[in-house]
Amino acid sequence: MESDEEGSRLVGPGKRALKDLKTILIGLAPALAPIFIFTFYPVFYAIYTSLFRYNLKYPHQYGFIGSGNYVAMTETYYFWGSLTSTAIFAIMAIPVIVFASLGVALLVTKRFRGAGFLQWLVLVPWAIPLVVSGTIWKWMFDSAYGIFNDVLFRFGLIEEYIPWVTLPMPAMVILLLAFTWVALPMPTLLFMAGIQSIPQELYEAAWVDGAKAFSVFKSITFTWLRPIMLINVIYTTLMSIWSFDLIYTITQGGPADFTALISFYTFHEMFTFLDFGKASALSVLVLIIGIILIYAYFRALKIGALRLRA
Amino acid sequence: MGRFGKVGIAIAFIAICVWTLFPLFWAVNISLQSEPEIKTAPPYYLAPNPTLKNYDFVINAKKAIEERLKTFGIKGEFLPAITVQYPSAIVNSIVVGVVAMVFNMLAALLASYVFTRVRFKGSGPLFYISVMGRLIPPVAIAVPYYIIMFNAHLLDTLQAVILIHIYFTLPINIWILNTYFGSLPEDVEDAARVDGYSRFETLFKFVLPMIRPAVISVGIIALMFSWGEFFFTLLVTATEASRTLPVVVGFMSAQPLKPMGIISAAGVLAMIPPLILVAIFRRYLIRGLVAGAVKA
Repeated sequence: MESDEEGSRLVGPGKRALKDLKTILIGLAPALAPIFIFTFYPVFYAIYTSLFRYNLKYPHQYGFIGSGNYVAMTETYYFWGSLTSTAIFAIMAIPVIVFASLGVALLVTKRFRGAGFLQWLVLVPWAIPLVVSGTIWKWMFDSAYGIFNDVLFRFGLIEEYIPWVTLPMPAMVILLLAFTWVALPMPTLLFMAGIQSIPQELYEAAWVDGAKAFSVFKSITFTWLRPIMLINVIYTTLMSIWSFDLIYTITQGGPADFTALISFYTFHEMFTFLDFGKASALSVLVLIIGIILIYAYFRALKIGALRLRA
Repeated sequence: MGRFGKVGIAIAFIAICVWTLFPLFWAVNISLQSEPEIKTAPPYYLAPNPTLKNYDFVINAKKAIEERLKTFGIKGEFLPAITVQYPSAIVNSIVVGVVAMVFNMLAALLASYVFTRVRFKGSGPLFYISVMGRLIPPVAIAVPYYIIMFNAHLLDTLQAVILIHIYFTLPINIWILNTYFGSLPEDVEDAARVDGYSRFETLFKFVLPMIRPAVISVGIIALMFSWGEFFFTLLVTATEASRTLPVVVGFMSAQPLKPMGIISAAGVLAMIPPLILVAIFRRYLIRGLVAGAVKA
């Protein structure tokens, strides 16, 4: 950095280092102090607790059991069921949200009357607390008073009202719809920002060269948006494997635990069965899954991990 | 744009409007109906006798409940008593949201400035740690957070809620500003430093005006998160001294008879402030993220 060398000539090297140290401390303390307290202690706690038999219902059994919780975890039917459900949910949710948000962003950044309004509109679900949107979605699919049943009935598609939330696949799809509704704004916002930052000269040059629409999209738009794609895929993945509020308000994990995704299952182990050891083992596992997926995305989109910084 | 393109845009326009607005329309529709009207099959597609009774109740719950008890005693229509906490929850939500927003803007600005402009050993790992911290699944940190707040004697205080909300958005905000700084030419800063301005003077006098959109969008991200966060606020709060909007509304929807009209009214009121905010700052929001998002 040239400016630093310039500065060092003015005040001398020792003073400069001291000044920098002060700058670093003042600059980083307000951000890093809370991050450190709220990151390391919880991670340490989760890993530590996962190695102990620690169930509030049987406090006298407290003791070190090493990998016991991890082994016990993989031996239950619920764990594999929950993992499968999480996979089903994530595999449906991630492509739907990433491509829908890309499509919406491409549309609302075009120049036409009402584009500004649309840009605002697509952000609207962001403004609504999840508990509120979850309750509304659930009510729309209510078996007796919901509009969904009524519409199907009026069109003669169903003979009688169906309690959708109590059927496995429909419950999952309702969850997915609600999740898409609430999770779409953030990726869309990032894509909009990215699209608007693409220099228009690139397109003009491509059109002059007589490039086909698809190849223009592939070589300019998509290439330019790749870093944002990465952020969005990671964001959506984490949101879907962590999703809790919506499950809590809409399906409560039912029917027959089919929508009890891994976070919800962990929550139950922790706060219903009070098995802190097992719940911690589960959360360590979710953490590891998250890290593996993110690493895979970085590899897949050919962006080196070190390029995370500017 | 050809005719085909125009028709396509019109269809997509309508599709997006319907998709986004229908649940909102339904919430408003329900909020304008009385409880027996809501619980009729088939449902009314438009409130037959639109009334603001639910809104009135949400805002003046205490008075309404007292009057009801006077006239009917304990019998009569069910009213969720938790609604009494709604007005204080609005105030709490605003206080928590604004503090979290301001702190996020300031802390992320300072941190990303130091990360991108001051060379020091360990800056790389520190940066990764601060961003990666956000990868921990929320459920995993619930109990540790409770323990932290318990030991700090902060349970059921606004400070606890603020601290948690700050932490949740700070890492991503540092990342966004960091990439934004990376795309910014440094000559202005260099010139300012040669002229004898200190680092922080340079930051606030010369750099801040240039990156204002990014700082605003970072603030809005923090505010929006704080406005909707439910689980952790539920965990560390216990009374109306610190409960925020999502927690009170969550409690309302956990009531035995599920008073949908009142819940919807509470929800509709809760979404108004952030909607106005996004409408005002939409341009900033998109522009502010441009550099931040692209230069990964």
